[in-house]
Amino acid sequence: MANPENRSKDPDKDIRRLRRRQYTIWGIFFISLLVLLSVYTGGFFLYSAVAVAVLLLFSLAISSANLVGIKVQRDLSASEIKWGETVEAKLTVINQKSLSAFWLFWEDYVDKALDVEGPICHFKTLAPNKSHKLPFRIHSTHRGFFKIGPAMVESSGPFGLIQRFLVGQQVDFLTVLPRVVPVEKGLVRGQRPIHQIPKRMSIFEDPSRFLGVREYQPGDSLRRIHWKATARSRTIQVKIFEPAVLLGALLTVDMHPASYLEVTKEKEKVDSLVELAITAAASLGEYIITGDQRVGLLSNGEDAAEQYKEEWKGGIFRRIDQVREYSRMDLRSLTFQPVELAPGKGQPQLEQLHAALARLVFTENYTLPDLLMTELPRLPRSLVLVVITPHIDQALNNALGSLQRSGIETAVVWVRDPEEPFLPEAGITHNIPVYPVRRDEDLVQLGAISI
Amino acid sequence: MRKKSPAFCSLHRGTEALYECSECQKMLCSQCIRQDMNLFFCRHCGGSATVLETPSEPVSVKETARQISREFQVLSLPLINHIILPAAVILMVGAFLFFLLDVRSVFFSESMAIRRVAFCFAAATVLIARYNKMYSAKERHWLYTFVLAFATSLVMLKFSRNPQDFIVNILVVAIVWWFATRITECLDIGEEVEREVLRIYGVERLDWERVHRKFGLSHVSGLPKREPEEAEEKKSEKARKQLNWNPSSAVARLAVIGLAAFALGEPVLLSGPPEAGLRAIVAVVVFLLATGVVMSAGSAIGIYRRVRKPGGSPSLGVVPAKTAIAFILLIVVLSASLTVPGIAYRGSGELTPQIDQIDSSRRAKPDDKQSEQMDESKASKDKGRGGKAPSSPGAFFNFIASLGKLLLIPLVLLGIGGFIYALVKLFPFLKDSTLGIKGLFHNLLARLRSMLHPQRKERDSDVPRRKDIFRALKVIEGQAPREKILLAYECLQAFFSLLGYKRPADNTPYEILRSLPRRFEFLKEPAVSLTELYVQTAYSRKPMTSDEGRNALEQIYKVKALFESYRKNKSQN
Repeated sequence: MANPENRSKDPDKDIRRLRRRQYTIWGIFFISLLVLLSVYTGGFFLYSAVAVAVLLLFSLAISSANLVGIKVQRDLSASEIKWGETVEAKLTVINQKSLSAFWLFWEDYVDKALDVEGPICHFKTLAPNKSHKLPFRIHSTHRGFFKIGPAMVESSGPFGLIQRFLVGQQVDFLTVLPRVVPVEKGLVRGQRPIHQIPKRMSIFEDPSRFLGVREYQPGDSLRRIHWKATARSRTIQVKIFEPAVLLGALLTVDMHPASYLEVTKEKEKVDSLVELAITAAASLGEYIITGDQRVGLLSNGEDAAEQYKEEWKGGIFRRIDQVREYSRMDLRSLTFQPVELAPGKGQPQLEQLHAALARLVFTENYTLPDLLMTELPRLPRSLVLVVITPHIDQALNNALGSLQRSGIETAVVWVRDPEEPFLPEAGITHNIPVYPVRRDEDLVQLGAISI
Repeated sequence: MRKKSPAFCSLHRGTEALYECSECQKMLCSQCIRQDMNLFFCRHCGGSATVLETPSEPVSVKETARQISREFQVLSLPLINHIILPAAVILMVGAFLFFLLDVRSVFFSESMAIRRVAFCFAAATVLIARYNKMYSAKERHWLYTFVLAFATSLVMLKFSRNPQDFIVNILVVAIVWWFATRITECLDIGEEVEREVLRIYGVERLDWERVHRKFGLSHVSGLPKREPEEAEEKKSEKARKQLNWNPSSAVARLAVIGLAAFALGEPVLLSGPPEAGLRAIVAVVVFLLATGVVMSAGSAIGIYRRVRKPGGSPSLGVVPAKTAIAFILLIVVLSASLTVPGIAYRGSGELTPQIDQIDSSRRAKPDDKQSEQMDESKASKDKGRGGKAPSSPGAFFNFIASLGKLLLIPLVLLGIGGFIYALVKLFPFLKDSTLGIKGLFHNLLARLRSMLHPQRKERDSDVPRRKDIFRALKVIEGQAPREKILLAYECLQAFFSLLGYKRPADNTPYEILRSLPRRFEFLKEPAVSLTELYVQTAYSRKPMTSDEGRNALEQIYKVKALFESYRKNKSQN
């Protein structure tokens, strides 16, 4: 007896087994048909077989010819929208041949996370060289990266028994940008979101902030010698600079599912927590970039685009399960690559940041402390590392302590469930500021606090 | 006077607006409104809609014709669904029943009363099975079936001449009941009542849901009910099955059972009286005709419903057109097929029904010899007329057969002409395509070759054998670290190709990893490590250390060990 667990684990195997069974059934059927035909020299069965064969041949010819010269194309008014916005879409099915395409059924695919206003399927006979446009509107309800297409055209014979499926080549993707809360009520300690104050513990100096000169000491770089002062004083003088200042933030978003499941087991609440974390990152990013400072992104999540195939060739299929197999998501990448966005400023950087946040999805490869420790040598010292996470544990506390000791300023945005009766102890021991965020209002308040 | 330019629907841009919503001020077409008695409501916001004033100009003949055609199409759909489809199912089941009764009539005497009773039973069974899931009779169909079965049994008892006859009759009725129920279940396409859904989308819907959740409001009519995840999964599974569901294939499977019954009953009928064979061929023709109509109408209505369910507006003419074309095609093909030479349908008369006392007493036979002479003369008359029989099945059969004779030559010519015409029209699209025939032919040849020479395939293949791959590892051990890594990776690729996953020519190592089939999931870890090492070795100038070379070798040995244990587990299972 087949093990049901194995069956669910290996869908390819299941499909192959089903196909084999189907072939066997058809084989048995045709063999028995031949036996019956050979045994009985001619009568009702022969008559039925002749009639059915002619009808099946006719059906096969119609269903195959119907799909010849059929073209499917889709127009989307935008490929990137903000949360809550809508996209106008139009699916056009064109019959390019000089014969009618009888009783075609076509249907577009729109990701289930999007709301569709208007029908996305139709049933019609397309006249020669005519087309049919199917307009519909897509409403965004969730942040994310969504697949639209491929469209499927189904053709069948007059009896509906023989079917052929045409899968369109065009697959579009819609990016719904995350919700952004205006963090604009702050700026009480200067005009920059990340205050340009010297770092408390810095081994780096900023060469643009000249402080003075001192006498040369062995080990000083030749490039630091102040030649004019040396000439004036006749002893070798070297330049000294102010310590480096913080010029922006590196937003680090925790996208490990376990971190969220530690807070709540309810799927709806997990979803809202993730969205709050992403909203916090997007809002802080916009706030900092608006202040003409640099922002980067680092996350242990995965880019949603990795789930899809790169190329969609389309084609004609004989069975609906073949269509489904073709249209399903690609296998996830076996190698993990954290989502990174190099620090930068300006509008293009903001757009890139929002797009990257829009496409972030859960992955179980690396926990946030592991990621921080792995990336530690590469992390920029001139940026505040803003960790956005719902769960703070000992491992994260240790990792943040290591970062602090390495000269990286850190802050934690602690995303919590708004229905939580009281806020537990954060458990951060390294004098690292923790900003609990439960709702949008808390995010707005962040503008008034020095990060 | 110029005609006033029409307003268009705010959603369906190409459709003329007939209503205007008093709440959201949108222009609405007939698809965007919901009618309740004589009132119209906007589907978008639920507000009341008012009918737009239409110009009272005289419409053209073309428009009138289009309107009439539309009205006809609107009428034709319920006509097909509620009259033609059930009638075709009843005919199909009835034909099957009559065939069985014809087989029965070879052994037992013929009784028209039993035919009538059984046909009424079949018709009632179809109607009960069809409408039991609809309307108000949802829960009581078992009661109706029981009452029907009881009544039929009583009637059968009355008309049966002996216990064997009664048992055979009941058996036939039971088979027919099963057949009728199954056929009708295949065509169960749900209730016709369109579910009203409040059409709010996007953020508006999310707000609506949030407010209702927050205040614990009961489910509001029209808003989709939020269900637990498991229930949703089950529902989606059901929806997936429904999407796969094709009424035609389900009906076809049952029709195959019918055909098998025809094949099994054939020797009996061909040995029975000539009249029984004639009746049976009529039953077969009617069965095939009705099956075709059921399949055609069932599949068309199924797709029509599939489009209507999410609020689509399929073309009304498709369903009647498809059914009509299928019907014409069936008539032509079935009648023409009767002209196929060598089809025998008349019984030889070797088997004769048992005539019991009642029958013999009822028949007033003046003289046995006289009756025999009469029968013989009747049979010779029939033969002389080319199968013409005095009964109504005979008349129907003769009509169909003569139609077939008339249609055969035009049909063949039409078929050839149509084929050439279609080929000419499709030529621009087919000239660059081989329709996959070439590939199919190659595959078939390769398969046949491998079946003939199973050993040769392995020998001739460029894929090395597993033993060879792992034997090569010993050679690798003595190499420099860089060569060690490269060769180990080559070994991994060869191993994968041996297991059926051949490296695509233009894929990078990471792409190969990414597209690795799920069945190799257990080899993921060493494959990833080895790929990383290979990429560093092949595409960077970094000198590889002996540790890294050893690591590569360890990984490939790990692959071997994992595969062996996997195979062992599999064989144990």
